[in-house]
Amino acid sequence: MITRRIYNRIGILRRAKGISRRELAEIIGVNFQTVGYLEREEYNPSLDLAFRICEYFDLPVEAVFSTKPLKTIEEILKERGRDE
Amino acid sequence: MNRKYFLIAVNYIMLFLTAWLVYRGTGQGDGLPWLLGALAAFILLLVTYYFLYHKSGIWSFIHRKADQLDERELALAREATDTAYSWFTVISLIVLFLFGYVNVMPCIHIPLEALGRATRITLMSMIYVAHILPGTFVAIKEKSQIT
Repeated sequence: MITRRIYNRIGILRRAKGISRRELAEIIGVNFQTVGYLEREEYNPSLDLAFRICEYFDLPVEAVFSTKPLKTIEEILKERGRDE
Repeated sequence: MNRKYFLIAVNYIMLFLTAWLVYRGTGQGDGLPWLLGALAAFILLLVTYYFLYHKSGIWSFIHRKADQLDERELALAREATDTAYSWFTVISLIVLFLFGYVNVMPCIHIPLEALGRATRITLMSMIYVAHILPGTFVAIKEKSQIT
């Protein structure tokens, strides 16, 4: 089965929350190494796991996951600056 | 060469070497030097097994119950088991073919006693391979150390 890469902001969101991979892993119910795989975008989570992650960060799915490369806050701010 | 691949290669080479030396050592009158060589190869086999499968956690990972694995680990274990037993089936069929047809070939004649000895040693080796083959594929696929 060919799967496409799913981009995510898990690493950034986790660091913003100030928690370790182990802590996040415990909260979402996976091994801490799986969090590493998710953050490096080497593993696409199931829908259930994706929802668990989004529920923890209290964000909609499209804010955490995307099929296109996600822009950094810096890039978003630069774009807004250009528009204004 | 990556340490992991080096250990995998040494482990399988030592298994083959142990089997071969035991075969030679048990077939001759003075087989002691062969058997001592087999013992040395077997010790090296155990050492590489310890570092590659036991200490890394791969052995316990592959034998863990499904409900103790997360979805990624479950997929990894399943893929490793699928691949390993596909390979094991092919290896077993080749071994069966060789043992079944070795004496039919006009250029080869192995005495029945030697063939029986080779069969027993091959069977022991195959039991070991059946147990570690899924772990080998986990070791190849998994980038980080298993816990």
